[in-house]
Amino acid sequence: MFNDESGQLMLISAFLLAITVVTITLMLNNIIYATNMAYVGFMDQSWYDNLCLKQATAAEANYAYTNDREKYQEHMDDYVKALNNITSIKGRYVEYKNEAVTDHTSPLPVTETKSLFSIYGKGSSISFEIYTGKNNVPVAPTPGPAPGPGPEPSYKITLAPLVSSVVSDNTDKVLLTATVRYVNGSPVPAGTLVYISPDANRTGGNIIDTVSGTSSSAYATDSSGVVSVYYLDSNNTPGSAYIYARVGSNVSNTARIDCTPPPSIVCKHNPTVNFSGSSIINTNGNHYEIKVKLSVDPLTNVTINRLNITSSSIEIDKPDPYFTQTTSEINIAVKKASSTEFTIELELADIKGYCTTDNVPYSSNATMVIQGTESSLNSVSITYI
Amino acid sequence: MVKRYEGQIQTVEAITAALILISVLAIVVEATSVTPLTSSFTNQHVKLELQNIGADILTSMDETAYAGAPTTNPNVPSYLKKSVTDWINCTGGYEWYAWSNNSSKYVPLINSADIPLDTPLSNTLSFLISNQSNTGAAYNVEVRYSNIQGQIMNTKMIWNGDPSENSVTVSRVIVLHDQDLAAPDSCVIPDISPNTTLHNVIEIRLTMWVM
Repeated sequence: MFNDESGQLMLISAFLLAITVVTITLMLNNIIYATNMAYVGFMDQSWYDNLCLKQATAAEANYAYTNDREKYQEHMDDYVKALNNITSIKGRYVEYKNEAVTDHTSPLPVTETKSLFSIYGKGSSISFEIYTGKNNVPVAPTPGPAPGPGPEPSYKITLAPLVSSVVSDNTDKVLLTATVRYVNGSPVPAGTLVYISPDANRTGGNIIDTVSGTSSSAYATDSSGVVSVYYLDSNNTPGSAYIYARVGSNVSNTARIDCTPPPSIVCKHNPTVNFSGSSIINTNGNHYEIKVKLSVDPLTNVTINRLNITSSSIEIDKPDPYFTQTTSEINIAVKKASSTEFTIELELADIKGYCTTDNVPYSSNATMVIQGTESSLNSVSITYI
Repeated sequence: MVKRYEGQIQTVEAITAALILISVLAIVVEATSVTPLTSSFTNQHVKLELQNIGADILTSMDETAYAGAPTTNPNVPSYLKKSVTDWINCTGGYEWYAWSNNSSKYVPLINSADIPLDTPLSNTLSFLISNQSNTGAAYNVEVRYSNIQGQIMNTKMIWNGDPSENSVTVSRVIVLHDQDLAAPDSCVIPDISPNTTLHNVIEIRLTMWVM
């Protein structure tokens, strides 16, 4: 009996030990798992989206004020409407209240717009005060005309292009006129330096002086506070150049110039071979060598693939069957004949070329008649068939 | 005889106790395998990483003005906006593109005559996410916008296939203006403000998943 009870005790002890170990293990595992569980809040994008919306709205207010000032309110109303269309399916509603579209000095040096932008979500909302102003424009450390000590004066600068487009061939140019006034409307002194430059988003743009034709970092105003420059573009691709003028930290409106590449040269799809000169060389022996100089359309690279030369009055000895633009000369060797006058007929067949601008092939045929004597060529005529 | 029986019983009991202990150890080892490296947790971790990568890509591209122009000039587009306008100005926004490993470029899916997609966003995605860094991730880029009636539309820009159930999507709002588009009246995104220079507000949606 004693031995049987001992076995039962061992079994019970084993069961108790097993239950204890399992319990402790499950508790530890639960602690490890819970403390390392991915927090759902990490995946929450609402703050990221809110900041994105605020930033886009501030940029749009700045854009509307700069480019659409007369229709600022309509512009922003349409913007918010379109924004709400998108955000509503995420459970957000945005509201934009324009509080001021004016110039005043608080809280920024020059505030252009002040607005309240609110985002309403599921049971929560957040509002942002949005200011846009000139202090957003980067200021380079360049001096403006400083009339005496004290803070830098404020200028009002307008930049007006004569036309809104330019051919980007580095030849066509647009006249830009920058007018500089003090904020109170009084004229600035002559010689005030105005920095006019295009944005770096378009390479190939160049500002030059209207008088000297040279490029400079700054241009001096005349006695009326006006400076004129030309904008040239050599980018050769479609696009827009955005140009602004600056005096000190005061920046003008942005002038937009649409740049269009120069029209492609229209290829003449008919090869033109023209007679441009000739000579006749009385070589030693019984041969003459007739050189017929031809010119071709400079846009083409013409190859005459078949050249048949016949003559009833002179014996052709060595025709030159090949002609290209680079070797624009046909050499014809003939034997001396008793007759001093001769006529040579050339059939220029299958004249082929490729337009160098668009690589379009073309072909045509022509005949050429050469008349002359042993000492000179009297005439050369070319007739296209 | 009695002593022999006791010995056999004790042996059976010892074997039983050993089996119980071994079973408990097996259960303990199996139970503790639920760690942050198990599949369910790793999935969350990877999704979070993908989401951060996507948000960083969209944010940084939207914060950087194209070709180093001043970021505060409202007329200079960001790299993200330039990517959208290039896509629209090239095909009107009607073309979908997919990455081709054979040609290492984005090939058109609708009209094979269209030129391959070559925008800052597409190049960044192909470089950072899948094609050159071998992260094993895939991505789609879609554009969501509304028409003048307020209906929400969705169109594809880059489509590398249907995303898996564990995909994550990040987005960024972009504002298009008439001057950004070569043909504002004929592109896939309509002009919702005909009287102003505003064209439309779009949402760039980047969906990523691990293949």
